[in-house]
Amino acid sequence: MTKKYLLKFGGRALGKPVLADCVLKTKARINILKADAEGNMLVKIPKSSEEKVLRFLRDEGVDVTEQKNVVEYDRERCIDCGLCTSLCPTGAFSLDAESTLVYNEDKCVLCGLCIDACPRRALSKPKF
Amino acid sequence: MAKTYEEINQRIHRGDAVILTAEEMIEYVRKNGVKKAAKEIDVVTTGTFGAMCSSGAWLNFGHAEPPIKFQRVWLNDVEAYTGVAAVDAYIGAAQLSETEGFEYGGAHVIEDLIRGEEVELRATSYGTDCYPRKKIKTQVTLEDLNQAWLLNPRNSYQNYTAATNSSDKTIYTYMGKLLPNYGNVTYTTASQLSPLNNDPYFETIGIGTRIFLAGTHGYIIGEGTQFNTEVPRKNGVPVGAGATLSVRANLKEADPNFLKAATFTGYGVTLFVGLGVPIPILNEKIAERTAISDADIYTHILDYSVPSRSRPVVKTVNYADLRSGRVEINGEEVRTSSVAPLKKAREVAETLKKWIEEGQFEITRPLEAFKPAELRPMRHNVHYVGDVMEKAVIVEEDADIEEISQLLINKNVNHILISREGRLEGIVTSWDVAKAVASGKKRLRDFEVRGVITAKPTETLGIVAERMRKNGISALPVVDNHNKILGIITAENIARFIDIK
Ligand code: SF4
Ligand code: SF4
Repeated sequence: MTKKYLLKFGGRALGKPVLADCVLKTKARINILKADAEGNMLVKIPKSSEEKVLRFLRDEGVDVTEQKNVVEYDRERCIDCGLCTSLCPTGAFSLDAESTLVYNEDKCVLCGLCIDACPRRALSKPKF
Repeated sequence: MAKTYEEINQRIHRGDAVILTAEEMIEYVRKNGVKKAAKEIDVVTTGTFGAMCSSGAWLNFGHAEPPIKFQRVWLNDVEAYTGVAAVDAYIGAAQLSETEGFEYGGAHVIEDLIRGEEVELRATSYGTDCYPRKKIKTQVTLEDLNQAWLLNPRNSYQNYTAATNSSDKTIYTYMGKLLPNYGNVTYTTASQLSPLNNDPYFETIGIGTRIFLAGTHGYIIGEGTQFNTEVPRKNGVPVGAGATLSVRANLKEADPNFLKAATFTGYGVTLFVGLGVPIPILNEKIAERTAISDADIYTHILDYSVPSRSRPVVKTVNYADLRSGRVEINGEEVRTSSVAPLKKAREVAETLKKWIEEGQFEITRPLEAFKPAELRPMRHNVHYVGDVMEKAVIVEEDADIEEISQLLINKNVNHILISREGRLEGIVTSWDVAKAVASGKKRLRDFEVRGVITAKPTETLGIVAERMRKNGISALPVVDNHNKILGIITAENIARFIDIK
């Protein structure tokens, strides 16, 4: 499966045609899905050239994170109430022995049931 | 062997008092017995971190130049109550922002203040000779205020009911989001750690007791609102919502870690408050009570889809069941979750324990004991089905259509109940009969009577009206617990007493 990556251009990576250079150098068919004014970009990179592309971008100072199609969880806002644990149909949320919330994002199918249930607004749809 | 408050405080000062959290006490008593616990343990600390809507803060902003007497005042667009002196105001946790609605409220203002953030103060007035100014708009921080007291009329419920939803729609409540068809169960108390569950008869807790509140020293200033000592108990603890506390602390000393604003979608804004009470182990009875565990504390799971003060009990369970993450309802496993973080409740009890161990916190003898009280409903006219229902027109199940259509006409009714020896079998409407006649049917049993939805005489009109609306019907047979027909209630009967949505 082709993975999606969120690219954040900042610092060193600003003001350079990084993506163009990357395409020229790696010959990878990078597919730009979305871009915003703050310099964030969501791209699809073919599996075959993934490694090369990621290495190139990181070397150029681009902040690269894999974008999974799962709910975004803000640890800072969470108070470990655990309310979300009884709402998630796939069991993506659970409380550990210390009663700290554990989020297993591999289980999330982005059904959205938990999002408006979180009293601390710690859960959201991926922005991109 | 009994101890006194003074003896315990002396030990606290000497640094050799033995303090356990309520959870540690359970283990200790299990291993060593109550006798030894009463002798060795000086204080048990409790903690809770629940969503407590009945919270807020009194703020004094100081005088402006020229001065203003607030008539109305807003903090970040959340209105505060100012029906007191010129620049005093009470910001209630549950008050909603006039611009952001449910996503921002009084609780968020309080959280922003204690996090040191600037808050916009906006006030209007009619102007007087002594307070000529008519409006003001400025930015303030907690530091700029003369006084800021967290003053919560009702916190720290002794126990509380749990919630589920039998209807086929998701509902949004102060107990959280409840999925349809018993999709989940939520509950809210810190159970075995909860202050009033550990001293259920208030032998050490009363007016004047020094407590942990919002990360600083606070005080119990009285019984909380809706304080109720008349709830049936099990193992000493009320099964469901019991006693409450009214508390105060200096907001300027509060720790943002122990006050967190929250929004319950579809319900509103609330404030999570960290509150812990130290329980001095004066004697064996008190020691024994602080050793109560989740398995001994019971609550009712109520059906929150019933829009009434008296919601039906679906099941009675203990907190060990609830904490396990699953309970069984009607043969199905249903997931449970807490609205109140256990982890934070533990943090409260641990912090209080540390304060006492370090000699920073003395225990106090209450100045006055709580008085027993009973929870009364609001005084207003509530009408019950039994008062409003009318006599039903009844036929036996072997009646023929001819007889029924005569009855419908003669008695001028739209519904006829069908009985077998006084017990309800079904209901037919004039429409059913017209159709039966048109299709040449002769006997009742030749056409289907509708599956019967009923009402009980003790139900309120509001509930019954909702049931009619949901099922799209205009009358319900009224029966007793043995299905014996008592009468019939129609939408018209109800409309005379209440407005149906
Ligand atoms: S509901 Fe929100 S605050 Fe509560 S545990 Fe889940 S993510 Fe954290
Ligand atoms: S979006 Fe759905 S699947 Fe994903 S964590 Fe939330 S409830 Fe679970």
